[in-house]
Amino acid sequence: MTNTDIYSTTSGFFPRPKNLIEAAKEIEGLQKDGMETNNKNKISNIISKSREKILNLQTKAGIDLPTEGQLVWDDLLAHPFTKLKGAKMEGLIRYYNTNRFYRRPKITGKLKRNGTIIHDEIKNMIGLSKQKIKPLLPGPITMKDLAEDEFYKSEKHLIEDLSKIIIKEINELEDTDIIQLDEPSLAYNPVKEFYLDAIRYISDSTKHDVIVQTYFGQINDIYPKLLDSVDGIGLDLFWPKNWEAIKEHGCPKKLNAGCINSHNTKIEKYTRVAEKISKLIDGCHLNTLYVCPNYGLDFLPWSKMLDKIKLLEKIKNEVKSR
Amino acid sequence: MINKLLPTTIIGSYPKPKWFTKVKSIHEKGKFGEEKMEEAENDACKVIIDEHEICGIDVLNDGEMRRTEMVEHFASKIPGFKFYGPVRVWGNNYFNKPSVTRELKDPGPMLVDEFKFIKKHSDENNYIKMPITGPYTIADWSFNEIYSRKELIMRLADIINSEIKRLADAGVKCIQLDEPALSTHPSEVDLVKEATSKVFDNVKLDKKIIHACYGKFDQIYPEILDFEVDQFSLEFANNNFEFLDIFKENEFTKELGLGCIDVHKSEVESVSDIENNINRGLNIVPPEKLWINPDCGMKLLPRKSAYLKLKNMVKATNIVREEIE
Repeated sequence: MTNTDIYSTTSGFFPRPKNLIEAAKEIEGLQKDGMETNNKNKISNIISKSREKILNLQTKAGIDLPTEGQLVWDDLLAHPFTKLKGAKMEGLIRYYNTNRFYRRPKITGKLKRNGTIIHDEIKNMIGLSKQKIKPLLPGPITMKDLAEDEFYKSEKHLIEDLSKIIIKEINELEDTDIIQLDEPSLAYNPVKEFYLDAIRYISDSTKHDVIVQTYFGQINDIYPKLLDSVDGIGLDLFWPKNWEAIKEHGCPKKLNAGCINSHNTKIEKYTRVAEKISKLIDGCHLNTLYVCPNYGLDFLPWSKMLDKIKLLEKIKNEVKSR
Repeated sequence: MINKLLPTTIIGSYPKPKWFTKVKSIHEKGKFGEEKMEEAENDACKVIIDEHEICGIDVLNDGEMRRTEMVEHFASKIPGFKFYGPVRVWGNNYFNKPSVTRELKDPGPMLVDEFKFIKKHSDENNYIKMPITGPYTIADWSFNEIYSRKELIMRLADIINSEIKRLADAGVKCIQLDEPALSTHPSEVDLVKEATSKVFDNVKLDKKIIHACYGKFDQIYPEILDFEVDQFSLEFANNNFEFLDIFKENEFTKELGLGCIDVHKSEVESVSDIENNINRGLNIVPPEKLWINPDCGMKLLPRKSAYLKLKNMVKATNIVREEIE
C-alpha cells in the first residue's frame, strides 16, 4: 500500500463521435473554416449528446477526473483564438512535428476576450455530470508560439496579455476548482526564464488549481522551477528524462503521469506500466498522482481510444494494490 | 525525356468530379456494383486527363482519381497494415490512419494498371509522371506496433522499390516520390536519404523527383542536395517564398519543381502574380532546371478553382518561356 493518492484522468481532447463528424461536415464542408457560433447552434443538440457520450464512457471506465473532450475544438488554438478580438485565423500549418495540422492564428491587434472562451462547454458538461470536470485551455507560451504575431512585436507583452485573458477566463469559471493549461511548447521548444514567471503569475492570480500539462518532449531542465510555480504538473512519460526528473525531485503537488501513449494503437501491458509507476512511487515523494494519457486521445481512432481509457483504470487499480 | 523549357506539371491529386464522389459513396454502401464502379472510375480518369490537357499541362497524370488518401491508398494494399478507424488530421477532417500490426509484405503491382490507363488515354506526346508515397511518410503517418522506426521505413522502401521496378518495366520514365514528412524530423534527414536510395536502387528512369511540402527546409538544406534524385518539387506559394534566401545561399544543384500556386486558397492567382513567382524561382535555378507546378496536390480545392489556377499557371509559364527564348 502506498501513501500517494492515486487517481485517473483524461487529457482533454477525444476523437469526435462519428455522428458529430458527419454533422459538422454538413455545416462546414471540407474547407478551412471552423465551426462558427451560428453553425454551432444548429448542431448544439448533437454536440450535447456527444458530450454525454464522452462523459459516459469515461464514467464507465472509472475515470476519476473526466474532461469535456474538447469536442468543438478544431485544434488546441482555434477554439480560444476565435473567441478573442485582435486575432484572425490563417492557413494550415503543421502541429509541432506530428502529421496533424492546425489553423495558425494571426495576431493583428490588442488581444481581448470577445465573451467567454470555455464557459458554455463547461456549463453544459457540468450539467450532464455528477462528477467534477477538468476544464482545459492552452497556456500562454504555447499560444504565443503557435500564433503569428504582427501586433505586439514583443514576446513579453504578448504573453502578458495572453496571461491576463487566461486569468480572467479561469476566475470567472464557476463550479470547478481546477484548470489544465496545455503547454506542449514548454517541452518542445527552448524555454526562457520569463515564460515560467508568466505561468507562476497565472497560478498565483487564480483560486483554481492550475495544472500545466507538457508533452511532445522532456522538461527535466525546467521541472523544479515549473513545479514550484504551479499546483500540478503533467509530463509525457514516453520521454525518459521526464521519469528522471520526477525521480530526482519528487512531486509534492498534483502529478499527471502521462503513461499511456496516445500516439500508438499498440496497447500497453498494464502490469508493466503499473510496475514502473509503483517503482517511481517507492523511490520518491509523490503526493497525488493521476494516471493519464501522455496527450490528447484524438490522436487515436475511436476503438483504440476506448481500449486506452479502460487501461487507465486497470493501471490505477494495479498500482493501488501493490 | 521532356525537352521543353519550364515544363508545367501537377503534383498529383486533383478535385474529384462531384458525380464521381457521389457514385463512390453509393458504391461504399454496396449499392452500385464493382463493374459499374470500375467504369465510373475510368470515366473520371479520362475526364481529368482531358482537363489537364485542355489546361496545357506538359507532365501529367490522372489527378489520382483512383486513390483515396496518399498513405491510406498504399497501406490498404500492403499486407501487414490494419485500419482501426479514422483519425483526425485537422479540424473536422479525419483519415484512415493505418497501423502496422504484422510483418509487411510486397502486395505486387499497385500502380501499374493506373499508369497503363493514363498512357492509353492521354496524348502520345504527353509525358507522364507517376506519384507514389514515399516510405518515410507512410511510416511517419502510420501507427507502428511491431517494427523499430528504421526497420519500418526500410521495409517500406524495399516494397516501394519493387513497385517502381514494375512501373519502370511497364514504361514509366518519371517517378515522383511524395515525402511531405521529409522535414518533420530534421534529425532524420540521413535516414530519409538512405530510404530514398533504396527506393530508387537499380531502377532505370529519366527522372527521379521528391515532392515535399509544409517544410522546415532551412533545417534540412543543403543536406538534401546529397539525395540520389534529379529534382525536388517544393512548396513556395503557401509560405510566401520563405526559404528563397536559404536556397540561394548554397547553390541549388538539383532541378527545382517550383510550387507557384497556393492550394489552400481557392482564390485564383492572377497570371502576373504567377509570372512573378516563376521569376523568383529563376533566382534559385537556371531555366533548364526549373519545372512549374502547384505547391501540392489540389484535391481540397473547388474543381473550378483548381482548373482556373492551372490555366493561369500555364499562361504565366508561356509568357516567361517566351521571354527566355
